[in-house]
Amino acid sequence: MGEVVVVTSGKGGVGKTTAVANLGVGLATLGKKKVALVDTDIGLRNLDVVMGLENRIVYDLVDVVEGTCRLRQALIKDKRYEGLYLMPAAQTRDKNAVTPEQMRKLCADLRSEFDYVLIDCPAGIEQGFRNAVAGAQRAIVVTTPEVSAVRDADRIIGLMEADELDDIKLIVNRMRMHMVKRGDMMDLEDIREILSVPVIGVVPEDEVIVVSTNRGEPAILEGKARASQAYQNITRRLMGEEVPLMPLEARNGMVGALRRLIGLDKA
Amino acid sequence: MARREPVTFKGIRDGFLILLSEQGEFGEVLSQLRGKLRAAGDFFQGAGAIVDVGRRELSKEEMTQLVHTLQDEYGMVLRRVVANLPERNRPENGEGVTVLRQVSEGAAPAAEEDSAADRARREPGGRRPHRTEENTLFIHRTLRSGQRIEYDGSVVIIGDVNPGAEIIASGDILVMGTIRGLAHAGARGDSQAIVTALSLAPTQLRIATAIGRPPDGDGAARLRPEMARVQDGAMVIEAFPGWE
Repeated sequence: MGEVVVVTSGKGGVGKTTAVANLGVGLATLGKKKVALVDTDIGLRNLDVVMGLENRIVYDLVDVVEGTCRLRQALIKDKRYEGLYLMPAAQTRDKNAVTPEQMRKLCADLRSEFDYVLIDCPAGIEQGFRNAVAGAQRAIVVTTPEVSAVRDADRIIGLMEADELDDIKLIVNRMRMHMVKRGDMMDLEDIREILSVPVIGVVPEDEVIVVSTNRGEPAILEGKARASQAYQNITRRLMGEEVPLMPLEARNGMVGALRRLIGLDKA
Repeated sequence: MARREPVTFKGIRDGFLILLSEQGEFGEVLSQLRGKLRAAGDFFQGAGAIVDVGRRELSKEEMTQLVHTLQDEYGMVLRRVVANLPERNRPENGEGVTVLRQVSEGAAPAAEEDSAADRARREPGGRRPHRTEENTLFIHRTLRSGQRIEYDGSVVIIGDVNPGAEIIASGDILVMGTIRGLAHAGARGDSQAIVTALSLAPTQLRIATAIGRPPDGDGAARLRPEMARVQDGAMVIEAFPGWE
């Protein structure tokens, strides 16, 4: 029996879809897992584009829940990575085409066949969000070091906690260390203090991500790029491995060493 | 803006906004309202209603008639009655809307209420009566953005109040953590109410009808217990006694 993990954020444009694509590839390659990616952003689908699988779509999520096709028929096998599948969203319908009840059933069916089911959640807190979280056992909240993104993350964490979805981890995306050092950007501690959920990874701002997203090839396997390394580490943490935060993610210098020593920061 | 129609209905998210004309006898406006409700049969039965009386200042009796008409005669669920008060009576937040009577949504500054307890608090000597008979709500978690607690009594939070979260209490508010959101103590008009927290960095604090916000550009939370109260109509924030 696999796990259903919803990737959500509240605010749009913080990197949910990129995170789903990269973690999906990571789990399938580094972890040799069987992974299904589900795009629940009905009407504004993107995950297929980021995965470079747009031209293979025949059936979609709405077809499955409406019984137009079988589950298998809507799952697109990835062209590069063994064990990775995508269930695309419908583009010509809207969020109300699916109910949370149907999503729970769909997730239960997928769980029995896959090790990991990653749900790409739409922005917002309405029906699309309700659908995306309905069948999940775990959640990854993606935020950026901006006050508005953190505020929205806080909002959806509250909504998920109210729904008794308690296993919540945080990805802080697009961190710009030089701006943090100048004091021009929220640092990890500020974000932790407000959201008080465990951080599963910090992804630095990296052009590699922009390039790879446009090409339809997730960047996680791109050698030495720092964002790629960050996603590799998150993948391993997601599978339960203990991986220390990369130096760029943690505080440097004397203060950082001291904080780690007295246990304020994770080593 | 003057309203020509004596009574206007507008659909809102959970019912209807009923706009009543500011002009003419209130009795006439009320009978127009009755006429419209009667004509609609049982259409409004059970529907939510917010009534806006414009700049008209209702007497207690008129308020009672209005509530009676909507709730008892036509079965509407009256949520609140609001007014666009003239300039001099406007609250500082500039919204220009004052809740005169909160019927079903809990606490708000209630201009019309004058309970025995309120009178007792204003008695000579100015000493605050014991409030042992009041209820206190304990919340053992952090209030996150979008979460709102309204309580008729005092509220204790073991956790933080994050930006975008709101606590509204008719009594005092004590937060064993940081207040970053909005806290409104004495929401039914008790200006003796206090707000205290281990760290006060609120978006806004309200006590009875006084409203306070941190000075612009003062982003950093001080990590020391502080207490907010109202003194001579103004909000005062000071170190918690014993922690100066």
